[in-house]
Amino acid sequence: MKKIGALLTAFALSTAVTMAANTVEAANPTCILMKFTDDTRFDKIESAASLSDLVMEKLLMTGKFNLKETRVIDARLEALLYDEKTRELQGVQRAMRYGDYNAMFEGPGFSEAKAQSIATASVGQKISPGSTAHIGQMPGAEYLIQGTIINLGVGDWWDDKAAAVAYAVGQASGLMASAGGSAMAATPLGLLGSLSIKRTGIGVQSDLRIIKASTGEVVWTKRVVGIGDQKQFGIGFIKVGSDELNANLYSKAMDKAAQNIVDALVKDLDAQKLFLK
Amino acid sequence: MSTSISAYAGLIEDNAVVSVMDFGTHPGAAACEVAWANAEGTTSEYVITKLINDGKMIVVDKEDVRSVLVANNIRTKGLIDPDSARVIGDLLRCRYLIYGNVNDVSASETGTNVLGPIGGGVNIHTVKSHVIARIMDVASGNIIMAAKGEGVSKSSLTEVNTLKAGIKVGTVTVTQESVHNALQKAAYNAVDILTERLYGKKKNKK
Repeated sequence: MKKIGALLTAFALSTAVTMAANTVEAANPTCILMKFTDDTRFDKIESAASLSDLVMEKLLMTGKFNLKETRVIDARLEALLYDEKTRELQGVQRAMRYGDYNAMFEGPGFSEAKAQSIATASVGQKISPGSTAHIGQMPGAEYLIQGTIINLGVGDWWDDKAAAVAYAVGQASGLMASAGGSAMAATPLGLLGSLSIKRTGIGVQSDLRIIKASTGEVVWTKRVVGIGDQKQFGIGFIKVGSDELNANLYSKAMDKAAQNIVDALVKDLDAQKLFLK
Repeated sequence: MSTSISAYAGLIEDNAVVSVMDFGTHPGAAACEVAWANAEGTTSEYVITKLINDGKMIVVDKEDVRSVLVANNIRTKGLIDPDSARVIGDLLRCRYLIYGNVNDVSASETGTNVLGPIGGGVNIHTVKSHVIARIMDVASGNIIMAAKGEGVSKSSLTEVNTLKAGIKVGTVTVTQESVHNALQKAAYNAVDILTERLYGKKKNKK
């Protein structure tokens, strides 16, 4: 009797967990991850595809999204969405055929409300609603998620992260000028010379945008920086660590960029700055 | 985070029937000094081995129908589209597909160096790999869960230099063995994380 009771309890719990999970799934927006793009000169190494994989995994971990796998999009539709020149050409061809350039300049192609491409669209702009609706319709997706890599490497676009480099070096200098530093100078370690900290790294700057499939409207976008770095400590002629850039730093930067962008999205969802559903 | 994991636990049944596709890669996934011949093919083999050893899911081999899939231009490597997944699921009679990419294989070197060319040092060569695996319901095209696994393989080189000569103990270059060691660990780690997210944490048997 006790065994049957235990079995029934386990069954009930298992059913409850599954039902709870299905309820959570039903409340979540259904999304498709579109092809990510890369605006840097390193686009041949497919950083965009790598970032897409990382973002996908982190989005699923939040438990706030249902993701559908992406269908193959035909070349014509892909060109309409991603190629700014294709969109411009459509309007120009018609104008040249009919000699109606007024219609072109006053048409949707020059409207600020219309995005030039999916990779450059900002909040409030619309991306070819017919195309986005078609992409979202078959798998029943309500939103399309698309990202772009803007910068890769080192630069001013690191924003406040660059200040951290100066702070680390300043900290080391400050240590030597402090009472602690003076105390160290009096020991055998003091014979080695001053302490130096060298920080090297690679940064990735990326955008993520969420597009309502039925209307093509961009409802959310954010730009973040992810940095993969390392430190080399030097005391006189002793050096610990490495100051050489390597692929490991690149993968760390990509992972941090993906994490930062998903964190920003969840933060806005939780703060109700963004409503999906 | 724990709430999210528990919310997903139970979305897949025990003894779910799955098939593992060939894992893909990106052109820039590996640094030029890393030798990783056939890494994509072996990664899926590592995933299959781990799944079978874990015993949580029933793994169906796609090799018997590979020729049919190839003949019909059905994608079996890297990211699988829902239409291809449905055909594969019908042929193999499996409900789920596990697929994904080797996200990166990187090599780095760090260590301690004293007096440079006339002193010596210890350098640690590290090969690190990440594999991202997804599981899809072939009927709906839903990505049920994903997991990123990490694998690390280290080797060391100790150098003692003098003005006349030096000695080295350890490996200088990254070997294919260390690459595959890292890939295997990453694949195993991905399966462990995926299983935990789908089924919950393993309970210790008393």
